Amino acid sequence: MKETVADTVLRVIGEATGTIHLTSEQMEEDLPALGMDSILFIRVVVALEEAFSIEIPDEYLLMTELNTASKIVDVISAQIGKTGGRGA
Amino acid sequence: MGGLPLESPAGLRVAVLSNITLEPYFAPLMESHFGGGTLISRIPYGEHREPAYAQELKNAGLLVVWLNLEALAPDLLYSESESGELPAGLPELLQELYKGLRSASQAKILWFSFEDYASELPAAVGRLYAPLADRLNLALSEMLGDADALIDLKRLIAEVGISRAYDQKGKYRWNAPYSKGLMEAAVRELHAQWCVEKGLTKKCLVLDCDNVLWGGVLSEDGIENIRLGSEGRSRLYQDFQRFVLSLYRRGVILAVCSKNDEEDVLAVFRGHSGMLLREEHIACFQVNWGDKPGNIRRIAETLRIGLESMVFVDDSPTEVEAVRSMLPEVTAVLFGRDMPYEAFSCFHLKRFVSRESAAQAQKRNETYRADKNRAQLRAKYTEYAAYLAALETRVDISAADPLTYNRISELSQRTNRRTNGVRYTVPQLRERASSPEVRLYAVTVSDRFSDLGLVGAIEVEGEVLTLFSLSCRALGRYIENKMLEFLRRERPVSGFLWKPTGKNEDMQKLLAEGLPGASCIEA
Repeated sequence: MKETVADTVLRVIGEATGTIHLTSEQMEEDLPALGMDSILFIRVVVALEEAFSIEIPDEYLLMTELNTASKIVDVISAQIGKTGGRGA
Repeated sequence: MGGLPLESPAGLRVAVLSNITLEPYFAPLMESHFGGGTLISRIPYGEHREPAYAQELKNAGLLVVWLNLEALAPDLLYSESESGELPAGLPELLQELYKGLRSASQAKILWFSFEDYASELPAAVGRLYAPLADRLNLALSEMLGDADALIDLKRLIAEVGISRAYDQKGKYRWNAPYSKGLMEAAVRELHAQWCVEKGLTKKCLVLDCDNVLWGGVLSEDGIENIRLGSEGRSRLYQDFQRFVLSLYRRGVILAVCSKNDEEDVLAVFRGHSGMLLREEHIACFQVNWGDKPGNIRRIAETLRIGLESMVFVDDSPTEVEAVRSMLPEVTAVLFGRDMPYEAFSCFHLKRFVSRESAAQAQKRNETYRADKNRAQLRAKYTEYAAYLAALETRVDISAADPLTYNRISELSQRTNRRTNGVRYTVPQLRERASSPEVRLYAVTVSDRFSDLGLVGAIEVEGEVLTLFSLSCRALGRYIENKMLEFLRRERPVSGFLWKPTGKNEDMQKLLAEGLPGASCIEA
C-alpha cells in the first residue's frame, strides 16, 4: 500500500512542478533545495489532494514541515487511513 | 479560445501585480491560452518599486493588475455607512499605483475591477444595493481611460455563479480566494482582451436570411408575411439584427449569403419597416440558388479577405455542416433562439469605440463595398494594367503626424503578408519619433471609387528600413512598388529589418529586389 502511495506522490510532484523528478531512492531529498518555491508547493498540495481525494490538514501546510517526498507520503498515508480516501 | 493563432505565443512575458495568490490555477491556465513558453512574473502588491520587480515590469509584454478589495481593506465590505463614499486615501492610492506602473512599463495593462461579493453581510442583512465597489470601479475606469482596460470581474463572477466563484479553503490557506472555475473565466477573458489588443480577429460576418434575419421563408411566404418586428416571435430576429448592427459599428464587415432571388432580398433590405440592417450595411450580397460554400468562397474573393477571417451564421444544420466540412477555416454558427453568443467572441471587438475609430471602421466597410464596384469595373478590362489605370489610383507618401500613430500601430500589428514583420505599439512609435534619426511615413491611397485612407507605413532609422507595412486591402495594385520607388528616390537605405510572420517570406524577396544593395537584417 505504502509503495503505491509513494509512486503516486513522486509522479504528482513531477507533474505539478514540471521540474522536480525524483526516483524512489530520493525520498529524503530536500524539496526547497531542488527548487520548490511557495507557488510550486501550492500546486503540489492541490494536485495531491485531487489525486488521493483527501484533504491535508492545514497544520502540515508549511514548506519547512513538508519538505521531503517521504514526509508527504507519511501525511497522506495517515489521511487515507483516517478519511478512507481512495488511495492512488 | 478565439481559434486564431497568436503571432508569437512563446516568450510573452506577463507581469501580474496582485494582493492575493492566483495559483495553483493561474499559470497553467495562462499557458494553455497564451501558449507554452509564456513567462509569468508575480509582483506582490506594494513591492513593484523593488529593483527586481521594476525590471520585470520593464520586460513585460502584458501587465495584469488584480487587487482584491477584501484583502486590501477588509472593513470596507462590512461598512455600515449608506453613502458608499470612497474611503479617504484609497482613490489616491490607486492613482499613485497606476502612475507608478505606467512609468515603469510600456505594456498594456489589463486591470480587474473590484468586487464585493465576498462579503457575507448580505446573507445577514439582506440584499440592498451598496454602491461602494461600483464607485471604486467607476474611478478605476476613468483612471484607465482608453489606453488600458478594466475587466469586469463582477460580471465574470456572475457568469460563474457567486456560490461557485470562491474557494474558502484556498482563501484561508494561502490567500487564494477564487475557485478554479472563476480563474478559468478570468484567464479566458485576459486572452480575449489580449486578442482585442493585438487585433487577432475574424473580420467578416456572413449572414443567412430566412429564419435568421427574419422569420419565415421569403420565396414562399412573400415579403408581407415574413416575421420581423418588435413583438413576440418576430422580436428574436430584430434583436439579432440589433446585435449584428452593433458588431458592424465596431468594424465587422457584413455579407449576406442566401438561397433566394436577389431582388426579393434587396426589396426586404430596402423596404421592410422592421429591418434594422439596411443595404448600405452589407458589403457583399451573394443571393442565388447555388451552394453556400461556393458562395462564401465568392464573398471572400470579392472582398479579398481570407476564409479564416470569416464567420457564417445559418439556421440550417445541413448548411452549417456543409460549410464546416468544406470550408473548415470558416467559423460556422448555428442560429437559434438559445444560440450561445460566445461564438461571436472570435471577432475580439472593443467594448468601447471612440468616435474616431468608429468612423475609421465605417470607412473600412465602405472600402469593401467600393471593392465590389472595382470588381465590376475589372470585369470590363481584360488587361489588368488597363484596369489599374482606369482606377486612377493615387498614392501619397508623406511624413506621418502623431494623429496617425494609432492607425500605423494597428497596421503594423495586423498586417501579416506585405510587412517586414516589425510591430509597434503607439507608445513605441511615439518614443521612436522623438529620435532625429527616425523618419516615419504614412502611405495613403485613393481611387475613383473611394478613399482607402491610410493603408501603409514606412519607417527609416538612419540608413536602415525599420518598418514596411501595407494592408491586405491595398494588395494587387503595385502600391508596394510605389513605396519601394519612394525609398530609392527619397531615403536610400543600406539594409532592411526583416522578421518572419509565417506569411511574409515573399516580402523578404521583394525588399531585396526592390532595394538593390540593401542587406537583410533579421530582427
